[in-house]
Amino acid sequence: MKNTSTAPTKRSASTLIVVWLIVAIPAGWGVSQTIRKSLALFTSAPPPAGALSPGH
Amino acid sequence: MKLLSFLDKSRAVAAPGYNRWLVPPAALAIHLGIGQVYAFSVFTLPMSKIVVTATGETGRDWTLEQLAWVFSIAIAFLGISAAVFGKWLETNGPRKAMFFAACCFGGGFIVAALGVWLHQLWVVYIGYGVLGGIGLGLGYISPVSTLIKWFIDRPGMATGLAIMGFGGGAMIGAPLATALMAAFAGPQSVGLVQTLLVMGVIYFCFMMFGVFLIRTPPPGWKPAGYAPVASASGMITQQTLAVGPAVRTLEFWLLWIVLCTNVTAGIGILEQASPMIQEMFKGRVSAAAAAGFVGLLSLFNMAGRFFWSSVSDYIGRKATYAIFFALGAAAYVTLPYTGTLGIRNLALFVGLSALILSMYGGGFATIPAYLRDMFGAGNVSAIHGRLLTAWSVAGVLGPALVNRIRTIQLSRGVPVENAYSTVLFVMAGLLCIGFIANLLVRPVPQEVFDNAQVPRAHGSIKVSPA
Repeated sequence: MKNTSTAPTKRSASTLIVVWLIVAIPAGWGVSQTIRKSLALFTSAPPPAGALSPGH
Repeated sequence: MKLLSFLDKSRAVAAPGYNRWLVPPAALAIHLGIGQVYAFSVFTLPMSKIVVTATGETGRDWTLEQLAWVFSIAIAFLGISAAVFGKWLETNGPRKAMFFAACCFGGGFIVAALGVWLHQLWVVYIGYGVLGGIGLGLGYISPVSTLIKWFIDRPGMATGLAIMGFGGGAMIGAPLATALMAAFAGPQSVGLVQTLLVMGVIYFCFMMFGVFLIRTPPPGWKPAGYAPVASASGMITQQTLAVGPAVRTLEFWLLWIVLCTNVTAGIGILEQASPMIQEMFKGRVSAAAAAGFVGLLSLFNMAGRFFWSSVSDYIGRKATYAIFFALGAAAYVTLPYTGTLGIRNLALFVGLSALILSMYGGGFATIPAYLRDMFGAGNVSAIHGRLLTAWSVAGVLGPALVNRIRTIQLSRGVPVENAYSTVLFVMAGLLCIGFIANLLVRPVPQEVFDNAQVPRAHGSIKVSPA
């Protein structure tokens, strides 16, 4: 059995960071968009029962 | 020609010293890309307003029912192509499969753009549905086997990381499509053609990043210090079974039922999430808050893929699925009592729904490692591809079951806010079936491996030591 080391060298460590950033940035953007949307569940208060909006 | 030789299986073998942590981003690039399919619904409304926006003429636009078929065709072709091309993938390697996945998925957008431009729905069906669906199937299974080979010490975590990307793809796809359509829209255009073209190019490039990055481990490679742990229950084999004999085992079909019931139950709640929370908590949850609830479920669906599959590396796959089914059934039974039937506790309703969705995602992410344990690492992609037909069946069964039960309830005069209770109880029953199927899973008998080892006249040896 061949054992290949997985210990990162200095160069491979920087490659690793860049490569992970390329997928993490769009993923992080998508997650942040979803979290912002989800906040509505906890922040938006429905209109009180029977209340009419202006103009009605 | 040079590009085609770059795609060869032999060219994708890693050089000594290659860091295996470069492989998950390659897999993520593919899965984050194809996961866009779950955001297809953002196109349906603009697609139903193309003619009226351009000319003001009504009655010539595509209906929402016609457009719903685009997504259904794509998911059907996901299952079909994963089943058909799984064996081809094992022969030709992940890089070639990922390349064709990028071409099909990116190309699907371009053909769909042509269909929108010509206003020919069948072209959209062929483009996003058929071509894109083939890209989905190929892309979904292509990095799984490679990840399992690189992370034989933590296969659940590795596949969970990739399949988490599929859950998260819609989170990128939906806001991206919305932003592009807003940028391209004009007084006489909904901006769809340009959006589809740009997205086709973006997704092709993003997935090609994965194609260039993916590497397979050299034959016989093991992580430093790794020693295979013999499973006391015999649930982890060190041998490899070919796809044909694997599909003929009882264990394969039990796992098929396990996946199908878990997915059907999850789809049941996903499908109805927004109207269900609004009707069960009438006057307390607005439409915007319900949309937030759906977003929250997507987050838990995604996170559950990584969390539960990682947990399965420590407690075992069978125990993980037993938790999904037992806890899931209990959560489904409790859910109606958090709403109109009982205490009307919104936080508890949201928490239980999030738990259910995390286990729905976890079911998808843990299954490749379960297959690897049962049938060996050598042909996981091919076997996984065949098993994904359970997803296609669940994709039809789940929504159909939910809608049918609800319609019957309403026709019997059950109040709309209570009509979900029976649906949720039926889902709990489905999970009980899954629990039994999972309980019946036993190690594949040794004679199946022994019989498969006999070389056939025109075939290859079917089993090899892992």
